[in-house]
Amino acid sequence: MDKIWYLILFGTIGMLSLTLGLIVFIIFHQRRVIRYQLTLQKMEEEQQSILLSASIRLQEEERQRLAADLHDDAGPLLATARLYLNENLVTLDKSSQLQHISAAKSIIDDTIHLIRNISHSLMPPTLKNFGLESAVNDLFHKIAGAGTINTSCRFHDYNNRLKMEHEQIVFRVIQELINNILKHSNPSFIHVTQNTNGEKFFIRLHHDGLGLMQTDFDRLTKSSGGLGLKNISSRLRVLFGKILFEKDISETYYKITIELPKEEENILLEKVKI
Amino acid sequence: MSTFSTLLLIIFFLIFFKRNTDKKFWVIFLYTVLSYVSDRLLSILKLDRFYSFSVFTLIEFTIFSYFFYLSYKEKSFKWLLISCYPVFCAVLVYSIINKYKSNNDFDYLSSSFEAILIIIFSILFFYEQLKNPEVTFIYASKSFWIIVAMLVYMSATLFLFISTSMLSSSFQKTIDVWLINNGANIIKNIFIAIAFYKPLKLAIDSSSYKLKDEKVA
Repeated sequence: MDKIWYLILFGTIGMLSLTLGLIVFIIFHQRRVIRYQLTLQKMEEEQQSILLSASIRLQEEERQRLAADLHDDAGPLLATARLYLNENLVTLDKSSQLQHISAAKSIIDDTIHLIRNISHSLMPPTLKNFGLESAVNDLFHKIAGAGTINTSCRFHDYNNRLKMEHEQIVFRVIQELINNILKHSNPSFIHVTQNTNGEKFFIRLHHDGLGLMQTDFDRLTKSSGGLGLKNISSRLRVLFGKILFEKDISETYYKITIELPKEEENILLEKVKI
Repeated sequence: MSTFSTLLLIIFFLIFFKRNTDKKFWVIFLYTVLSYVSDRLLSILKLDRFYSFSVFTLIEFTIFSYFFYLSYKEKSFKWLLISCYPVFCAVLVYSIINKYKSNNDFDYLSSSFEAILIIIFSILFFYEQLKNPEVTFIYASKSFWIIVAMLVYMSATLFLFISTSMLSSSFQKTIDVWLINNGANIIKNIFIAIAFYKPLKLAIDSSSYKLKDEKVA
């Protein structure tokens, strides 16, 4: 009977040890998982902060550019026009008066043209009036005008336009990407296509210049530089979109794919059509 | 001593009543009350020990299962729990029917089966917690301490329950093998008391890694 008693005792101690071991393991494992999650969260917050500061910096740069344009170009033009139209104008003879008024008119026309250019660079009228496809085509038309790069743009499934503010964001992203390609890649062609698949909306840019891969993009958005790329990332985040930088299977050109969730209204409209 | 610890637990719950308004803790409170009442009745009235133990095992398993049912988030685990219940009842009925085959006055079969099932349910609870970790430490939750109490009690007594089949009634009476059961019961009551005492779940302030109070149900 003593043997059974010891058997029960040691069996119980064994079971208890296993249970305590299990509980301790669970506590430590969970602590490790939480620490890992918190580290990830912290990294995410840091990334957000970098993107936010990049966005603020970009806004600041844009304001400075706008201020410089207005101050350096529009300011002197208006000051010159004012010179022509000063109080001495009434004392001048009629022909001189006409000459001065004509010169002032010409300067004011230049100023109007300049202000229109500034305004268009801030908000392209084609984008507002005719949509994303026309705005991209318009941009490509200007690039193609230089005669060194072939450009083409084709939207395959864009019957239902995105919301105005979303179109603006997508256009700014495309503009920034094209700007980067022109600045750094030295391509001979840039081709933009649009398509949809299920509840996703895609825009793809192809070019044969020196491009970026996804790892480069991720690295640059996390570094202190790459302001434009950070801006692309933060803009797409607003639309819950993704961007993928890759090389084509043929390894001859680069592909940049922007993936966006379709807007609910458009999904409904499509369902009604079906 | 073991019965006294259960009485203390009831008083403890009543003192910290406001911290335990959730349905889950009322279920555990009901269990402690029933546990105390059954212990007292067994010592005062000369009831048949086998049947008394069987009835108590059924109530205990029902209450613990209900607690797990309220604690699980995954539907599959809830279904497993529901499907295990009739199996347990069948084992209990089988054990009562075959009572005459053994001299034992302890319902070891259903108690051992109950212990195994509760250990499995506890492991499933921990598995669920590890699979979907919330941003809170597991030991900050009141449910964790109650499940630890159940797990420790069931694993401490499992070997004893299984072994009682090998012991004669006279041996069970001469040597106090139930000392293990009483000790495990006291430990279980301590863990449940911790659960009753725990104020609110603690959430982690991710920015500073410090703990701060947050009302989480």
